[in-house]
Amino acid sequence: MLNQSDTRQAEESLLRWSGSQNFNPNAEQPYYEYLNANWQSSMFSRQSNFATFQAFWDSVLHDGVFEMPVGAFPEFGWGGDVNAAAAKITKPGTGELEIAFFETVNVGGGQYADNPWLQEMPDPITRCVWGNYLQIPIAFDGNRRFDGVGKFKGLNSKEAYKEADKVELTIGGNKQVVTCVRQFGQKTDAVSMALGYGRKVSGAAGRNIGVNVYPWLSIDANGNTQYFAAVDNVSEKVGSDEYASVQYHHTMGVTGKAEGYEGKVNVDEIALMTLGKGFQGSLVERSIINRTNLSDLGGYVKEMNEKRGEFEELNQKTLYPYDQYVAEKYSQGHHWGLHIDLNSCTGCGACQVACIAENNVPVVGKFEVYRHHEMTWLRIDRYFYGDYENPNVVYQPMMCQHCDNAPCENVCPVSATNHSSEGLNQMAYNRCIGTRYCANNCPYKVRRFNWMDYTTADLFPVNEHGPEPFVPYDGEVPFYADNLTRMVLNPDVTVRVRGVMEKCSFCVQRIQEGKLTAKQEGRALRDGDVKSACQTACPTGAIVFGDTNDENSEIAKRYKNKLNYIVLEEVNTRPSVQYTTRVTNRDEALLS
Amino acid sequence: MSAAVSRIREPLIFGNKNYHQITEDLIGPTEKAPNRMWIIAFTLSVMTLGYGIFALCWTFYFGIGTWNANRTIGWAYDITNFVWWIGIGHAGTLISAILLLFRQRWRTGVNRAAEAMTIFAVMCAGLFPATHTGRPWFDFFMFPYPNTRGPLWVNFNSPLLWDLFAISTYFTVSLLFWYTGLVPDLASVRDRAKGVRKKLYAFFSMGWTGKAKHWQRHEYLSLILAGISTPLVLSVHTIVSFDFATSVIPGWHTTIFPPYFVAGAIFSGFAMVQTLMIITRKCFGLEGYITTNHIESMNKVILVTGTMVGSAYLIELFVAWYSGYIYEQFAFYNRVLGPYYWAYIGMMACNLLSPQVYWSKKIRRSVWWTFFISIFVNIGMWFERFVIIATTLARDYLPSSWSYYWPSWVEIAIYLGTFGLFFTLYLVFARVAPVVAAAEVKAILKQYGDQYLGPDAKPQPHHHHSDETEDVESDGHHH
Repeated sequence: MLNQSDTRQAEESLLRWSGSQNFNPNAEQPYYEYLNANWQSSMFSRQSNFATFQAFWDSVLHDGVFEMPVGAFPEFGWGGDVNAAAAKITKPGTGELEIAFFETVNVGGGQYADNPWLQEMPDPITRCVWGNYLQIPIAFDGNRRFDGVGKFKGLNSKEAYKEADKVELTIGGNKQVVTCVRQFGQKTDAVSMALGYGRKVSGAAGRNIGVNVYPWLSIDANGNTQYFAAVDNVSEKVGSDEYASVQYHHTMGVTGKAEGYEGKVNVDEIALMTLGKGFQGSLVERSIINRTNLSDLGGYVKEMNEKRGEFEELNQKTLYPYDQYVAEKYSQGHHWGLHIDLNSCTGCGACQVACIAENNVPVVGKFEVYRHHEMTWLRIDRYFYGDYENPNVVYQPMMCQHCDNAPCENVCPVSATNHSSEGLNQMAYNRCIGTRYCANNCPYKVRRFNWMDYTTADLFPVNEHGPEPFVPYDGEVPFYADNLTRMVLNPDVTVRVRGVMEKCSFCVQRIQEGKLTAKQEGRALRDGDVKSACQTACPTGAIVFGDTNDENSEIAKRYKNKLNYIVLEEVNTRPSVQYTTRVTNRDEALLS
Repeated sequence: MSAAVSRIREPLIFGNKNYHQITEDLIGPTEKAPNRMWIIAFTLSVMTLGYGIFALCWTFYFGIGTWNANRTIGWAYDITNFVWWIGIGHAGTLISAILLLFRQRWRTGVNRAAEAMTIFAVMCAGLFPATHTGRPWFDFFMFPYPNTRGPLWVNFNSPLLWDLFAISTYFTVSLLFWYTGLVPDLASVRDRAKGVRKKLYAFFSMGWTGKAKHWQRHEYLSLILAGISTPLVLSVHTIVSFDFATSVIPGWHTTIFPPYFVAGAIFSGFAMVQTLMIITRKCFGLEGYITTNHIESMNKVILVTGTMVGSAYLIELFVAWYSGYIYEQFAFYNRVLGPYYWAYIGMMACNLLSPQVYWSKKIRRSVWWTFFISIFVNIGMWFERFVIIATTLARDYLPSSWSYYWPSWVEIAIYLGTFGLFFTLYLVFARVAPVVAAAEVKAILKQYGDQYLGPDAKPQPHHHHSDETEDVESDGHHH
């Protein structure tokens, strides 16, 4: 066996712990034998094709499936009492404010709190990092503005100005100061907060980050932890906090009732007309998120492709011989591209962390994220749409679009960012002087500037931290200057110095490695030889990387899909990243 | 015939000056010990400059991250201040070059100080693009020089590169123009000086003796430089506006920018000239040289350019609506109603509304009104640049990346530091060189208003000859 000593299969552990009677822990392959015996006793008798169990077993393993004769199942009946079960669910009394506690995808129950990569991965819903926030409900006042509801009225009204409010939250007599964040879809009589923060005992990165909510959790008579509680009191605002959120504006047209309008209308656009409060993603007919419901699919696709045709017609009106570039350059050799299926993306953030790990993207800490100095090359934008009280969410992974007509390239005075013959928008770090013009001119805002020496790559010892340390650290040297921490760095990727611009490179080191391997093996590069880090990490296969000039590649096939679209196509940037329209299948009657 | 016109034309120089008096009034201040006001102003300026230098060192030490610019708003205070200063640096060359070509002789009262102001303002402006880069020690990559890296050339497509050429050309030509005008006056200072001062001024006046040939060359050179600078007045801010106009960002990408920026630059430049002139004429007692007529003429320019800029603001709003392009429409919603609405209101109130009071002749000729309106205009023009740069970047295409910007202490300190630099240089200039072009003023003393017979006319026009002979030795100025 390949087992390392003192290890065992996960299933074996479960069987041991559950004290299964049919399980023999001393067998040579305990779980295999247990499984085998189970099939022999419960399944073998239900078929008649095979005489021996071994033949049956081999056949099932070969086919990967066992089809039972129809009718062999016993009728199942439901003997439970729904009402009795529902009555057992304890809940706080009516009229009270309830708080729900939940685990986030990044730090879990707190076990991953010491991992700075995960601390700096934005929560998929709140898009906040380095801490847990009290999620309070937000509503449209029917007139002009979005505001908190009930006792949260007026709270966090300056979120878009980088300022969140602190309140004192009392639960079970236990009072703590927490920072609020306004959350669409939060019920008006409920708030929520994440577990796993505020650890006292942890590595430096996880210590005292956020608020420990475990003291607020109670245990019921059966010994089960209750992940909810009745809130005794929420105080008035007691201060404000520099909260670290990477996305303040987050809707693509939420709807609701507004004064002077019939039925539900786009309240974003109504809120737009308020002085100083232009709140959300107003004027939402931007070609950023394409989505439709299954029932409207046919019409939508037609309309979308007509619109794309108009964009293309406008884009053809150019002084530059773009078709000639395509014929002479972009259609020759490799042309790398990425495709993202918005239907598959769950917003989990694995791609973002994979990108950080692959490309030596620095962690910058809470204060720097608060100042919007985060360095992530790949981010997952989250937009709400639909009724603001019960919104839907759509996630959009966004990284450098590697435009063939890139606005960033022509504005760089020193040509530090330029186009490769394989369609890559590439950065020459050594050449970059850091004017940041490229980032300003990027419609997708995916460029990241090394505002300070986050990676401690510079020679000067002083640069190892700013006026304040970026990431909390224990030892003598700052977080990234520690030799053990530096072991995470990928040797194939340059560590960037202070003052240079960087961004997604389409994992160019992997492209080069793939080409080199193919060359050494004396063959052409095959589709799938090169996979980007985000692609390999994506659990749902939403991301596909490949050569769009290769007719038979997976990406070329995906590009032909009629649901495909390009973000901000009318800007004529000619991106190498395409997205699939998000199609939902919901009952319209339930939606309205 | 022309005599009849002259009789009703007011003199350009008030106070019945003669040549010697002009010399005493204008060259005199360079010879006296500084007064207390000057010492206080200079101390404050140097301290402010020191604070700015400290903040710049802080930036170099820790990085641009000590500024609050961010991933969305890559330019904010830095480029706002850059464009603001470069705009201020527009009046000097306009006054010296365009008004020279148009034979607007009234310019002689203000051109010297205005040109000095231009040069100092361009120096303040140049500081920002030079230091806002992430790695300023590699700024020399911007210069197209033969090198061993390929050779690797600069990107001639980039408006930032055009900027570099435009500003360095403008600075060089303005400096030459200014210095050319200074030479006869430096010679006047030399002729009256003793010891080391005499040697220094002898060096800087380049052997000027006031020969006819010197004057002829001087006039030719001035005309040539005026011819070169005139297109520069229009081109520099046009090219600065290309930084924005050639981008793809809604609110930046507009064809109206070049004329709108040039008008705005002249507008703010004249306002700054007014602010400084009013202080200077008061401090040095130069009311006879920098007259209410000058103030009124410049106020007319401010009224015209302010109204042009205001029209541009309104046209931008119209075009945003008319374009039917939602990104453009949102950019203007955001300007007017978004989180920076106060900057938009400030811009509109200061730039479009405040100069409209100049339709009244009484206000145009009022020193106090002029002083306050000139301050308003400069505040308004700063807001305009902030609105265009920071507000536009804060909310562009993808709502997910929208952000908000507020300056850090470092950015504010650097901005203050440029004021320190500007006033330190100006105060030094006012001590070492005549703040009004003495030679040129003498040239217009007899040509304009010599035979004027209206109120405040000279009592005895036939005394001129004796006045002139007194003065010959001090400036070598023959007519």
